[in-house]
Amino acid sequence: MNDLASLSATALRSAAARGEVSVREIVEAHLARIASFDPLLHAFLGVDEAGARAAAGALDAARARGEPAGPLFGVPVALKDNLCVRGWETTCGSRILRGFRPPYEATAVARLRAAGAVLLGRTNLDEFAMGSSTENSAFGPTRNPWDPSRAPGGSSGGSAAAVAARLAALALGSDTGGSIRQPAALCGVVGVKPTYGRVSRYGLVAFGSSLDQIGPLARTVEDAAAALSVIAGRDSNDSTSVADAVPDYLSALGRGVEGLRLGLPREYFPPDLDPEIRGALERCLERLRGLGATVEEISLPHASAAIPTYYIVATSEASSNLARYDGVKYGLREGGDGDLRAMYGRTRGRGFGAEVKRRILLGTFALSSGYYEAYYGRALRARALLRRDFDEAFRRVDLLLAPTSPFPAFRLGEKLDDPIQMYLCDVFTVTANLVGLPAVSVPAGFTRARRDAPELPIGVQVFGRPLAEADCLRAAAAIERACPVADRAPALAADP
Amino acid sequence: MPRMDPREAIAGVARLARLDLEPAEGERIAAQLGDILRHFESIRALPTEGVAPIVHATPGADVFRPDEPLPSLPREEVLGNAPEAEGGFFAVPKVVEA
Repeated sequence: MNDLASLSATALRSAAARGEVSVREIVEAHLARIASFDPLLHAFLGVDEAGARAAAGALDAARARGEPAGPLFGVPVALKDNLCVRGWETTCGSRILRGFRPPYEATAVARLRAAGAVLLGRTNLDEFAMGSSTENSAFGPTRNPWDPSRAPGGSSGGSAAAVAARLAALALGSDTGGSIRQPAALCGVVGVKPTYGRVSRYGLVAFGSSLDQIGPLARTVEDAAAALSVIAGRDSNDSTSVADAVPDYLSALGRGVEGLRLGLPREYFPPDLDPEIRGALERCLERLRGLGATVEEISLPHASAAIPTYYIVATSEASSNLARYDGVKYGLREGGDGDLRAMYGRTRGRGFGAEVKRRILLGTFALSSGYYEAYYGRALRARALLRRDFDEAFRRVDLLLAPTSPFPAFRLGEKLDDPIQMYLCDVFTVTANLVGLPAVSVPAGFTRARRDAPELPIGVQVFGRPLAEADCLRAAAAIERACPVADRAPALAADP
Repeated sequence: MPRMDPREAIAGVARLARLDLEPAEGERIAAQLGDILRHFESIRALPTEGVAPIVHATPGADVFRPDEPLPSLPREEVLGNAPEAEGGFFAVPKVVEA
C-alpha cells in the first residue's frame, strides 16, 4: 500500500497545506494506484491525468506564493459520471450520452475545485443512476474491492469502489433511492445523503428531480463532513436548494452520543434480515448504549409501502426527465430515414439499456391516462403517509438507526435478470429520499469469512430530521469509534 | 386499481415514450413489468383516502430572484454537442411540407 494513498482526505490536506508533501506527489500516488488496480476494478470511466497534474502544479505554485490553502487543498477526488465537469465528457454510463461535453459545471464540482480539491476522473454508475449494482452501466460493471467477483452496489458503485480501494481520497455520488449509501455499505466506506435541498443539484443529470441529492463518499466520517461543508449551501441555479446557513459539521463530530435518543424502526429489522447484519447492528447499539445514548424501538407503520411508492414516483419523474434524450441536442442520433418520430424512437431504442427502458416504460404507464390515479396519484398519497411515519418517530427520538442494506455485497450477475430482487436492495434506503431526510451510512463491521466468500463490509444507517446532518454525522462518528474498521483495507492483488 | 394486460399495453406505452423495442425485448419487458406491477399491488391496501398527496418532500414556497440578464451559454459550444446543426440551429428531419 502506498503510504500517501492510505491517508485520509483530512490528513492529506493537512500535510499538503503544511508543505510536508506536494500536491503533485499526492496526485501521482493516486494515479499510480489507478493504473495498477483500475484495470481489475473498473471504478473509473475516464481518468484526467493531464488535468489532475496541471491542477496539482497550480496548487503547489499557489502554496509557494503563500496563498491560503482551501479546506480540501490537495485532496484527490473522484466524481460520479452524472456530474457535469468543465472539459470532461459526461456519459451517465449510457450510450445515448456518449461524447457529450457539458458547456457548464455542476455547482458541487465547482465548489470542490474552489476548495483546492484535485479532480481525478469520472466514476462508473448504473446507467442514469438506475440500479443497485453498477452492472447497468453501458461500459461494463465495476468490481467490489473486497471481493472482485461481487458487485460494489450502486448506482454510485464506481465512486464507492474508488474510495474503498484508495484510488481516490474522496468521491461524490448521487442518491435518488440509496445510490450513495448502499454502495458505501457494500464497499465499507462512509456515504452521506444530505437533506433534499442541502446541496445544489445544478449540473447533476436529472433522474428523479424530487428525490436526487449529491453527497460525499469517504473513508472516514471526518472526511465526509469536510466534503459536505464544502458542497452544501444555497445556489441561485437550483431553486430547491435551501438558504439555511451551513453549520460546522466538523465541530460536531467529537461530541459523542450521550443523551441522544436513538430509535430502531422495527420494520427495518425483519425476521429474514441477514443474521450477521443484525448481529453487527446489535453490537453497535450495545456500545452506543454504553456511551450514554438511549435506544428504543419505534414503528414506521407504512414501511412496506416504501418500495412500490418509490419505484412509481422515481420512474414517473424519470420518464419525464429522460424525454430530453431525443437525438436532437446532444449524444446519439440514429437516423429515421427523414422521419422525425422514427428518429426519436430509434435513437432511444438503441441508446438506452434494458433497465432504463423498463423504468421509462413503467413511469410512462404510471402517468398514462386511465392509470394515473391508481398508480402515480396513490404513490403521492403513500408518500405523505411515509412522511407522517417519520414525523411521528422524530417526536420520540432524535435519530433512527437501521441497516443500510438487507445483505452484504452480492455476486455480479446474481440479481441482474430479476428487477424485483434488485429493487429490494433499496428497501431500507428509499424512504429517506421520499421524505427528504438526511441519512449517513457508516461501516459497522464485517461478515465472517465463509468457504465461498471473504469477510464483507456491513453498513449502519443513521437518519435525522431535515437539515440535521450534524447530528447524523456526530452519531456516525461515534459508531466509527465504537466499531472501528477504518484501518482495514481491501487486499488487492499487486498485479491484476 | 384498473387491470391491464401488460403485453397489450406495452406497445402503446412504448409509443407514448417514443421508444422502439425489438419484438423479443418487448415480450421480456412486458412480462417483467407485469411482475413488478403485481408486486406493487400492495399499495392498494394503504388507507390513502383523505390523505393529501405530496409531490415534494419539503413544502417549498415559490422562489424568486432578481430578473437580471446574465450571459447565456456560448452557442457554438452548445451546438457542438448536437448530432446535426445548421446555420446556428439544431437540425432535425423535416416535419413540415414546403
